[in-house]
This record gives sequence, C-alpha cells and structure tokens, in this order.
Amino acid sequence: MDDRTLMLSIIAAYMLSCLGIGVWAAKQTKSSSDFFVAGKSAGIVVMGFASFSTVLSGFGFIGGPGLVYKFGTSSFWICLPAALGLSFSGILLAKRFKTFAELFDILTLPDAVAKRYNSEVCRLTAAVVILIGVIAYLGTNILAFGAVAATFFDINFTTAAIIGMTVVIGYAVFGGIIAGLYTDVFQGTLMMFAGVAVFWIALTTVGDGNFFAGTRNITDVFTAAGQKNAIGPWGVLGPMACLSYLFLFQFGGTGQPHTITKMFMARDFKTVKWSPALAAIAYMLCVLLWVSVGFAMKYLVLTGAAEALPVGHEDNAAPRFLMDHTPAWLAGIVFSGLFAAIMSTADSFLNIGAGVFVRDIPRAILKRPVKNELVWARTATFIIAIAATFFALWAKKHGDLIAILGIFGWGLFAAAFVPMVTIGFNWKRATWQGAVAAAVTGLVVNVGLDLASKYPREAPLYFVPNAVSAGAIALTASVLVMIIVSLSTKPQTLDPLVEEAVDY
Amino acid sequence: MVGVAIFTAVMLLMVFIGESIPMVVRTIVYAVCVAGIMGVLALKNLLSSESAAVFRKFFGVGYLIFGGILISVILLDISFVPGYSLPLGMEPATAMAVFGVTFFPFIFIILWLVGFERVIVTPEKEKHLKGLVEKGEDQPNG
Repeated sequence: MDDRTLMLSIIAAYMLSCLGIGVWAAKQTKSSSDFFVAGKSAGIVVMGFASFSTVLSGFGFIGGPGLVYKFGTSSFWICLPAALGLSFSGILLAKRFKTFAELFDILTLPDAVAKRYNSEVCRLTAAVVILIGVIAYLGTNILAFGAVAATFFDINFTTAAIIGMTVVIGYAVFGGIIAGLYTDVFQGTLMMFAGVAVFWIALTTVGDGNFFAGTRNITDVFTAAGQKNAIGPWGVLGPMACLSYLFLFQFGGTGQPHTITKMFMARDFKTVKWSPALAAIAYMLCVLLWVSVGFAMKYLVLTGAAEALPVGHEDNAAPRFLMDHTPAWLAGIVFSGLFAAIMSTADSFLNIGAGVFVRDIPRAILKRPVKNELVWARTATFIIAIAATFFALWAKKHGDLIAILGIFGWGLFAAAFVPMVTIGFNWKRATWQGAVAAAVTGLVVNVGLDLASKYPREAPLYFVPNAVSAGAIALTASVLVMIIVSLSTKPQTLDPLVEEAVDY
Repeated sequence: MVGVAIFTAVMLLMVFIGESIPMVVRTIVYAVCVAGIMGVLALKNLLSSESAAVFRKFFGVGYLIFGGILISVILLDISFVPGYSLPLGMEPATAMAVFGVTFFPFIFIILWLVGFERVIVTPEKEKHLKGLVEKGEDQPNG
C-alpha cells in the first residue's frame, strides 16, 4: 500500500467513525435539552476534552503554524495563553455557570444572560453577537478544511470547503451537541498524540536527527538569515502586540461561548473542579504541534530544504510539513485529527448558532418559545452552515489567513461576552445597560478597527499603533464601558436566586 | 471593580497616546495592567471565609510573580547581547516567555485543585444548592 493510500484509508476510517458517532448521538438526542446541553450529563473527561477540542480547531492546527511561519514567536502569545484561558474561565465562571444551570432552565448563553440581568434586550444583544461571531468563526474552520483538503487531495479549494461542510452538516444536524461532545473525546485523544508526535518529529528534523539540538539550530539559522526578530520573545510583531494577544487570549478566553457553555453541561461540581485542569493540560500537549511545525517549515525553507510558501499561503505550512516530512501513518492520523478538530468546532458553533435562532431570538422578540424546537434547531443548523460557507469563500477571495479570521472571531466574542458574562457574573453591581453598552462597544470597535485596517485596499484608513490587536482594544474598551455605564445607571434589584448564584 | 476600570483605561492610554513614553515603560505598564486585571477577578472568586485566607495570599502572590515574569521578559530582551548563552537553545527572554508565561500559571490550576473544596465551592454550599433545587425553587426561564 503506498503512502497516499495509507493516509486516505486512515482518514476514511476516521470519518466513518465520526459519522457513526453522529448516528449514535442522533438516537440519544430526544429533546432540545439533549440537543443543546447534552441533558446536563457531561462528566470530567467529556467536558475537559470538549472544552479544549473546541478551542483547538482549524485555527490551531492550520492557522497556528501558518502564523508561526509568518510572525515567529509572536504566535506563542496566542496559543499558549489560550490554554490558560481555559483554566481561567474555570476559575472565574465554572461554579457560577453550574449554579445557574442547576437553579434555572438554562440551555444557551443568552438564556443565562437574560436571567442574570432580567433583560430580554440583553438576550437579544447576546444572540446577535453570537450569530455574527459564529459565522466568522465557522468561516475560519471552513477555510482550514479547504486548505488541508485542497493540499492533500489536490482539489479545488471551493470543492474541498463544500465537502467539509457537507460532512459537518451530516452529524451536526442530526446529532446536535452530543455528537460533538463524544467526537471530541475520540479526536481529543488523537490530537494529543498527534501534537506530541509531530513536535518530536519537527524538532528532530531541524536538529538533524537530534531532538535536543532543534531549538539551537533554529536560533542559529534564523540569526544567520537575518530573521532574529522571529525567534526573540516577541517575534516579528513586537512587545505591545504580543502582550495584547496575551490579554485577548487569556482573559478573552473567558468570553468564548463555545467553551463556556460547556459548563452548563457539567454533571456535578466534581466535573467543574477537574475539567478546566484536564482541558488546559490536554490543550498544551496539542499546541506542541502549533509551535513546532511553523518553525520547522520556515527552517527548512531557510536552509533550502523546502520551497518557500507564497505570500498569503502561509496556512499551507502544516499540511506541507506533514505530507513531506512525517511518516504516512502519522500524517494520516494527524490529518484525521485535523479534520476532526475542524468538524467538532464547527459542530459546536453550529449548535450555538442554532440555539440563537430557535430559542433566543423568538424569546427576545416574540416573548415565547417556538414549537418543535428540535426540528427548528436542525433546520437552523443547516442554514447557518450554508451562510458560513459563503462567508468563508468570500474571505478566501479577499486573502484572509485562517488565523487572522480566527483572531477576529475570538476578539468579537471576547469583547462582547467578557464584560457581559465574566464581569457581570462576578459583580452584582453590573447592570443590563452596562452589559448592552459593552457588547455594542466591543462589536463596533472590533469590526471598525478591522475594516479600517483593510479598506480601502490601496490605502487603508487606520492601523493600530505597534500592531496591537484590534480585538484586545475592543475588549479593553468594552470592559471599561461596562464598569462606567453600570456605575452610572441605577442598581438592579436581583432575583434572590440570581443573587445567590452570582454571590456564590 | 474600579481597579479593573483603572487598569483598562491605562492600557488604552498606553496604546493610543503613549508614543512619547519610552517603549520599555509602556510595555511594563501594559503588562502590569494585564496581570492586575486577572488577579483582581481571580481573587473575587475565592470565598471570603477565614479558611480561604491562606489561599488568597497564594493567589495574590502568584499574580504578583506573574507580573514579575512579564517584566523580566521585557528586561531580558532589551539587555540581550549576541554571544550570551542560550538556555535550551533559545534567547533568555524567549525561554522566560515560553516557560515563565506559560508553565508558571499552571500553579494557579494546582491551587484551584488543592483548594477547591475549601475556598471555591464548599460542601456546605453544594448541599445548600441541592436543597434549593429539591425544594422546587428553580424557575423556568422565559
């Protein structure tokens, strides 16, 4: 069996397993509670693996190495703090979210926000932010799938993206979050193994067969090539940019709906105690791939052992390295893990987006739930997937890198939900007016700065000084607005049970 | 929370109007604000009971060290001269960034696990919550 056939066989076996899990999950999914929060029955391993797998999507496995290839160690300030963001969200939110889920009928993040602030305006604001962010983030993963599949199968990017979304729709529509959770356990295990294995191979490759010489060789080659900045502590982007990413990815991690809503699914407080730790450790093992492959590929280019990646195609760093420098069986496993990471994250986002359409918007606008929530949830999943696919193809046409789009999506969620949720659930004085003002500020600043740095194409309007992340600025501004507006508006009288949960 | 507001305001100032301030000062101030915000919010999640006092100190000291690590990265970077020894094949500041900024905060996870029942969610609180749910005081949403 040749290498390509072996890889394809492993990937096919994996895909069939995922679809099998989807079919099994469909049989377990009997209600909207099952569809959105797995019936609140997730244990430590399921919740821990689901949390980190959702974060480490195509953004991490494809976009990450691409960023390292382009910006050097600047990328470390994204991937490494994101691991801490997982545990930090546990510290700041887990017990409160678990309490809310126990005391109230909470299936979605807007549900929790509406209950906390006793405000349907808050629910609607949260729902709108989620919809925009979901489409952007899903677009990231479609781009990642397209990049990997196009390289691997040597097919047109658009075809690859459509195939990927079709498979995701297949198990997300029918299995809901249960499909995603159990696929996450399976693929999380694969991803951890892949992360460690590829890290070893990458450093051994650049170390000329000696793992322990890898970092030294990278330092020497990059220095000789005049790219010393790439291997300094701040990479190409500089200290202010990197510190802004630290802030955005560690603190902003507490505002990512695809991870924090997992806390509603916890079976008990023991799960809440152990799963953030498990998620952070597992994530760190996977991120070894992120930090090593980008450098290894660039090293090979600088030493003439590989062709340079064209500008705008840095996302091919990971697929190229895997295809050309790892054993076929490992490449097959890693590609399977990659596809799995992308699909499970996409499933989480589709689930969250469906919740918005089916549960949150009707409650906010019509003041009543829809009938046949499960049927509508599946329909909404399908519609969102199609919208995200169109967005991804548009983004690709405009030359956006996967990680850049991912950072935009992450920043969008962070700027809206860190004030509304992280601050709001930790501070009784927070008011609904502060929450809404913060979310709107975050959205406007994030989108505004992003567009200003890109358009008009021939002479963009504005660049943030020192390459500081627009998402971090939006997050900083929105937190400040939240506190100022809350202190300036009349304190809310909280429902006694809400007060008990926030005061926990 | 006023402290968090002050930290965020200073961060915005450092980005937008700090051009006249030396970069090393701006980055140190920004780093201190980042660590400060996270420290304040983490401490709010520890119970205010007497049994939590020691853990509050540990968490507080931990965030001070975290801020110190960020400052160390900044200072190590500006003081590096080619020819200095490279720990683990990396520049000292890079090694500090990778291991100090990444692995040190895992101490917080250890503190979280060790102190969970005493300072984060006590068995009494859990029992009280269970009692509330069993009494049927949960209120359906919407």
